[in-house]
Amino acid sequence: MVFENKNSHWIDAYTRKFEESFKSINLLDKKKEYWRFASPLIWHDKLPIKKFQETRSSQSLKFDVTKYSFLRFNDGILDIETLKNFINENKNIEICSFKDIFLKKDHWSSLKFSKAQLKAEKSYERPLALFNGFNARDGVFIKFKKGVKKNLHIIYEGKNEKNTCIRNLFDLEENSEIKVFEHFYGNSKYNIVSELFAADNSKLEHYKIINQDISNSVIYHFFGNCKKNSKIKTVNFSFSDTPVRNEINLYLEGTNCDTTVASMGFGKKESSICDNTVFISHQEESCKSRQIIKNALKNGAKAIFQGKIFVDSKAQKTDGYQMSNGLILSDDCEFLVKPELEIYADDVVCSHGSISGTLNEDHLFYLRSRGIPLIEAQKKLIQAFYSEILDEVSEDNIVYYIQNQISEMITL
Amino acid sequence: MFEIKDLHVNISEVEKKIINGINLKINPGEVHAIMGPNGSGKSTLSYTLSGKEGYEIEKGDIELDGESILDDEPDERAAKGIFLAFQYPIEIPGVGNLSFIRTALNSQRKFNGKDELNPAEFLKILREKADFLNVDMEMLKRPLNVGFSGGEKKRNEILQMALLEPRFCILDETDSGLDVDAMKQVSKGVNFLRSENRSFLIITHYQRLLNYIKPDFVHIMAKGKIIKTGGPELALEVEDQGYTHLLN
Repeated sequence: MVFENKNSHWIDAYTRKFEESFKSINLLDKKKEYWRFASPLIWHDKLPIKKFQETRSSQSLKFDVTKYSFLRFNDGILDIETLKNFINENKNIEICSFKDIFLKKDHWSSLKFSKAQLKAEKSYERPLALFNGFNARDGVFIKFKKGVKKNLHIIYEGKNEKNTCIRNLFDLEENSEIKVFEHFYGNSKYNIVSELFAADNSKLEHYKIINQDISNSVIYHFFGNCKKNSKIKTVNFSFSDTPVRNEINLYLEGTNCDTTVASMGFGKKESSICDNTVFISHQEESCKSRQIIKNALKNGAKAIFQGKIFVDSKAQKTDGYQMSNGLILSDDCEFLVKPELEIYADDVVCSHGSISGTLNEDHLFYLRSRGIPLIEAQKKLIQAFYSEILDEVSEDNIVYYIQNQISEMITL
Repeated sequence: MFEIKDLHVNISEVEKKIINGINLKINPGEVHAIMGPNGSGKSTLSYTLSGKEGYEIEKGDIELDGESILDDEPDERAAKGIFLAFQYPIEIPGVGNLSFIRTALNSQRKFNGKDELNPAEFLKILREKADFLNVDMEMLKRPLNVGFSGGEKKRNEILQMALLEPRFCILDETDSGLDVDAMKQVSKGVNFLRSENRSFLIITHYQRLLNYIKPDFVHIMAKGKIIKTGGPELALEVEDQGYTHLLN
């Protein structure tokens, strides 16, 4: 364990368990089903820190959060000033840093901590989430109380080239409506686990933006347990040319849940890997899930999508949809896709599809026939390729920011 | 002035020669119609003039105001004043109609050394033209041509033409798929744009469009060549007798 806390704490049992489980896994085993396309060693910090690209420090790359409620992590440690400000501004939200949990004997999170992760472990081994479990240095545990509506930005700023394990927990009580925007910048090698507990009728929009200036790998685990009528959306934007893996595991444990997992990636170099491994488990009736993945690739970049929809025998009237699209802009790229449906109910609608191709020549010609130069026409079509993902974003300023990032990336 | 000089064109993909020596001169302000049986090369001609890839010019030239445009890219030809109204305007999901038209207009303005229009200026001009052509502004907020009826797509083409103000307009079977009312609407737009500085090349199968857009010259095309040229009465002759007697 990282912390030198000599007193026994309820987290200790979990961290021991995580460590034991991690040590029992052979990371070199190439037969692991969900690590076939990219080895866990790419994200594991036992290796020397590998800087994949130089950081391009630019204000234009950063989203201005000063007008909003925000929390900041510097090299993996929560900034105390931002925490204090957040506590003062938000009386109906309970928040505690992961470090401070160890100072509290009783905390509401003891009833929830690692429950979502342990459930997710049943679907397949997640060695790097286990590693996070006994190496996390900090994080935030936030309880959004009944009926609360809140937008929150979390900035992860990595000035130094460090391994950064962060552990978060988001507890949404009934009828709360929350939007969380996570922004990643800088030199850290990130390993993050966020657990979500969504109570009846709660809503979460979760956006994760891996900025262009990230110079190291990022692995983000998002484990969610969703109760009745909850509406959960998690959208990922990957602009860095480093390995990024999103592991998303959602259990739909109440009826009428509605979940969307969307991701867009733009890989421009051989060092770029955009890996989305998504597992959605329908446990109750009448739930709906959507997975939409879009990746544009050039110059040897690689994208991976492993998406599974599991439907329990109780989960009648399930509506599950999965679509992945690859826009291949040069011959040396790879878009590796493994869709899965495992269905045990008999009254369901589930579909999956995958399409890869280049920019449509007829579309390009139509735009150019109106005087739009080739580069501008290509930009428009690439923007159009991502429009289905951008349609998921409910905040105009974020849409505008993402569109600018895409525009800048196309010209690089 | 637009001139086609002894043009011979192959379609690269199938290595087949489609245009077998066309000569055509279109002066400013003139409206020329091209009619002909299926497979005569009419659409090949329109794509070649607009610079679409895959149409290999084996011989000949295409000149705008005395200068060859053979080396010009499609966007350069457009900026110089050539406009192609497509027979089947393509749907492009995710590209907003409004944003597309504004980008096109400003790209052409930039090419020609003019200042770009700001959003307010653009909207003012757009509203005027859209109202005249009975194009619903709500339609313009949708993705380009997506979900548009045939008539809406053709009206969108004419709206683009009205905004971009080209000097030479090629209308490739603009009337195909249109009912009479839609055709009248489209024709109204085209006639509004007729001027002494603007010329048209109208490609059509049917004489009925030419009841609404009266041509100065009618050319009959067959097997990649113009086999007969006349006035508007030639279109009536074809309507009455077909192409067979001309082909023989």
